[in-house]
Amino acid sequence: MNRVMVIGKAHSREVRKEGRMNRTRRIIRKNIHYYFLLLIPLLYILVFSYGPIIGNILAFRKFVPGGSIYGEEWTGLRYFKMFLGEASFWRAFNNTWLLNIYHLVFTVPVSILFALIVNEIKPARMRNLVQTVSYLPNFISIVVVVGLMTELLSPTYGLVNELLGKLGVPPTFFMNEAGWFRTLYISSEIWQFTGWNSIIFFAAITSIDHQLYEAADMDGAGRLQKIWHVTLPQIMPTIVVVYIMSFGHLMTVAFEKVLLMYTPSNSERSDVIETLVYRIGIQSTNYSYSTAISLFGGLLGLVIVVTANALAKKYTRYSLY
Amino acid sequence: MRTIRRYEDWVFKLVLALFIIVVFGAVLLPFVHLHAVSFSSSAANASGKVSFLPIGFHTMAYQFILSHRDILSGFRNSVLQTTVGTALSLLLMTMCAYPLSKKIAGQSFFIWMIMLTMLFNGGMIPTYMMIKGLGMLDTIWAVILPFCITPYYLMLMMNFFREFPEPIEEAALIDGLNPIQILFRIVLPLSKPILVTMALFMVVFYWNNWFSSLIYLNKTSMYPIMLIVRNILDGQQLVNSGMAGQETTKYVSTASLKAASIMVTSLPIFILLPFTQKYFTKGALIGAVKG
Repeated sequence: MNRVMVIGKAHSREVRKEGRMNRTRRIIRKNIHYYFLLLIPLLYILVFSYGPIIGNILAFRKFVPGGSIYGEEWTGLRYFKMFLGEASFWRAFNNTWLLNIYHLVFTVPVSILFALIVNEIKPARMRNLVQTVSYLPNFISIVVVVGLMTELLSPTYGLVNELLGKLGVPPTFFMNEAGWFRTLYISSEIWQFTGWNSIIFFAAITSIDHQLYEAADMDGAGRLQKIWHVTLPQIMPTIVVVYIMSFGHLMTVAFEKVLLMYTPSNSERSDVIETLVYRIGIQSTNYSYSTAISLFGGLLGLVIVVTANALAKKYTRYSLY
Repeated sequence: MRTIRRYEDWVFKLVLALFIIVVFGAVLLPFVHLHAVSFSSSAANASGKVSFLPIGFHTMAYQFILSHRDILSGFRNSVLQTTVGTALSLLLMTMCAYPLSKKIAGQSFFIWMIMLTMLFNGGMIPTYMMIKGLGMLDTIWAVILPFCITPYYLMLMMNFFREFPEPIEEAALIDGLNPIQILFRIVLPLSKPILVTMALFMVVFYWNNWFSSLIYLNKTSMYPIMLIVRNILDGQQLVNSGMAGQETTKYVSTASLKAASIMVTSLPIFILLPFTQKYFTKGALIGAVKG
């Protein structure tokens, strides 16, 4: 009896020791599989994300056709000095940040408002239907959206001019007028993305503690007061984060859309940094010069996000990282 | 007090009803109008009489569009790009997100490395040079590979895998499966919501992607449908027509051609969306709350 127990103890000690070794071995083995899985994606990211980032070195080097994609000889800040002294660059620069400021000022509040209103629709089926319909434009190509605009706003047969004509307004070629560019750009952004962008605010709203609303009910708050005093303050962190994120794109607009909406006659407003990069780089194959312009825009964007984040952290306690 | 509350409620309901009507109208009416234009005669279109119902009904625009060689090859190219791109994307993103959702050495470094590319990327020209340097110009890879891993979507997937019940994985481990087998045999079959969501996002992305084809591809025969449509909308002449040019232009106005091409290319998305809706809101919410 006694002997058996001793043997059992020794045996179990042995088993435990072996178990521990097995476990460490197993953990290593387990991790090896994970690293094996990671290998290809990490290589991919090095090549396709960090490759081009390193490729920005081209901004400081002279590119020779047929030569290395990283340029042939150092030129220092020559290309930067070149565009900083050019009027077309400054026009594009100002158009870029102005377009983005307008974008920020209008689109984010509209999606917050949208989320707040839709949240008040009580029958769940109706609410879901409204949401689904509002997501639809998000999935449609920008090509189609701009095409839609061009068709609706055409001065000869467009629906909008037709309706305005009935009110006695002479036809306007909206897509061709510089003065209308920003309005059209932003209103179509609102049309296309409000529903989708409000998802994140919906998520924030649904995670609000119900007791807060019950307490507000007890205090006799109406529906509007509940939105103002409970919902809005509760989704504030989300709003701040969304704003910081959007600041990062201050120097890069949805440039494909600008390119699609671009006509020579609205170029005064529709020339942005990236269309400039596209025209100088891809169309005129002036690679180094246009890399310098886009690097400048990208770095400026990075500085703006970091600053916005720091400011938000300091004054609102909410931040991205 | 009570009457005030009831009055407020009534106004509230009215405002909501109006709001719902405005949302529906704003989203759907443009398409209803284009639908009408695409079926209307050129005379009716030119005089601007068409609003929401076709006038002088005909289907010539659709016949023209659907028999056009460029459009047919465009559809084929788009389908190819979309399927290959989506499959590759899902595979690469899963291979990346699953290990990173586990506590392994270097995890936070890798995550930071990937997230950094969200704030700062290479830019158009260096990316172009990269693609050129890899010899991918004028191949389908140029319009697929650069978009396979999207940091934001990767984050959503990582959050999803992190929530995966650990006991199931541990049980499988004890049964002698290795983590790669666990991923493909056990985790993925149970991760349908996130996979469908990602697939939908990627399908929509590749289907709508036209700009990279514009810069990386030179042959019209390789163009995806959206680039062809963009050229049609741009007013470029439709060459290689399958139908006799003179005859059709007499009856079909450019307006209905443009409208028909918009309708035809948006249709797949319209059809796809309702079926996947229940998945993607859930998928998008998972990431939105945690991220």
